[in-house]
Amino acid sequence: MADQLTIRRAIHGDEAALRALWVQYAPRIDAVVRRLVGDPDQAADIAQEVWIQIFRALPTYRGDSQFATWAHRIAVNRTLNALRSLRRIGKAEVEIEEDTASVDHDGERALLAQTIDEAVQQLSPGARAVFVLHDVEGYTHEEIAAELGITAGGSKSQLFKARAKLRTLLKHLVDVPISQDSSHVAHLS
Amino acid sequence: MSHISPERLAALVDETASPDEASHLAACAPCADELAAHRRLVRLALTESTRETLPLNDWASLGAMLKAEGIISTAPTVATRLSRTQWAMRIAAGLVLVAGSVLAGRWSAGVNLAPRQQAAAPSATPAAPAFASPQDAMQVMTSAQQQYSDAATYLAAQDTTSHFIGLNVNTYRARLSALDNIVASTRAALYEAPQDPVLNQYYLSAVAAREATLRQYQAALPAKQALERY
Repeated sequence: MADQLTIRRAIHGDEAALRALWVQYAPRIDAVVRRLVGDPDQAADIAQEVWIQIFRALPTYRGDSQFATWAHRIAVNRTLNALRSLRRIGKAEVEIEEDTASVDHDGERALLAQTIDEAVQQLSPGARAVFVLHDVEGYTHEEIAAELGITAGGSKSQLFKARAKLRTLLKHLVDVPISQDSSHVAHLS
Repeated sequence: MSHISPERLAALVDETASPDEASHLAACAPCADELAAHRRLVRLALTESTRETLPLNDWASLGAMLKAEGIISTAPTVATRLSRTQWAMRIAAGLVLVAGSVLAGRWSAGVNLAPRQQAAAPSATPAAPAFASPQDAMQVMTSAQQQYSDAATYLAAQDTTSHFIGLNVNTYRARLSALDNIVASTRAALYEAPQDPVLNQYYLSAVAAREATLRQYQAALPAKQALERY
């Protein structure tokens, strides 16, 4: 937890204090940025913007919440703004439909991801944002709707499609077969 | 009822199944398996929230940007100001040290101190010293300490008149004991208030007087005796 003295010194522009905050919180904050952005180079650029924004906003931090929570909110907002400015989030609704349609639900041709992080990178930006915010970061659909400028229903719809795709991509991690019924095909309806 | 769609199974992690869905899940092992897999996926995602990664940038590049943005201050920070204050106090202490030793030596030599005090006073005042750097100030402080040491040595060697005013080894011993108490108590107080100028002055004056007294004590001993420790 960031101590108040470090934060006060950081507000006054003390480089050592600013660096101490960055050292302590960058592993967590940068992980969120990377998950939301996907592309490592873009993530690095956006993470830099995020930290500048956090430090610029530091005088407004009142200590009502934990510093990590406060900085995390800024990181998410700034990252989504950056993605929006890259015109990626704006096309989310269209992309998710296309992505979902292209998912091979039986998994035979799906490229399995080794980790959930790797699998998330294969989602479209919009689906990735919704999945990361809801299932990883714990945002509600209403909060996601406000952040992304979509409806709560739209957020749910994207989440469930994203989960369906991830379930296929991470088959080897989440499959613990109880039944040996090989006749089941997931997208039968 | 046919199998439940993947998106609906994904939704059922958060939502309650309808009666039809519930009865289907109870009867259809593949759909139940799929729902279980979705639940494991969500649990897996939750564990990601605590995962940390290496920072995406290094401090050198971020720090440079923060300086360019004016977020890192180029003016002295609190820590730097504190450091400079401590340096100033040390320099002032060095000057007080010299003045104290001169006064102690002159006093023990039986010299009228009144005019000397006036002369010594300005040197004891940290009159806005202008130093180019901490190293510069350090050199001044080291020089002042050396001057103190030289002056104390000289005064102890020149102190040949103490017996005229009744000073002897017992007097020096009593004074040393008193000075030791002052040094100990002011040193203890300085742990609580390291920047207090009054405490610093008393402490350093006591140290200086003790040093001079030790030399005088040694000089006052009979010729064949030497002060091994005190």
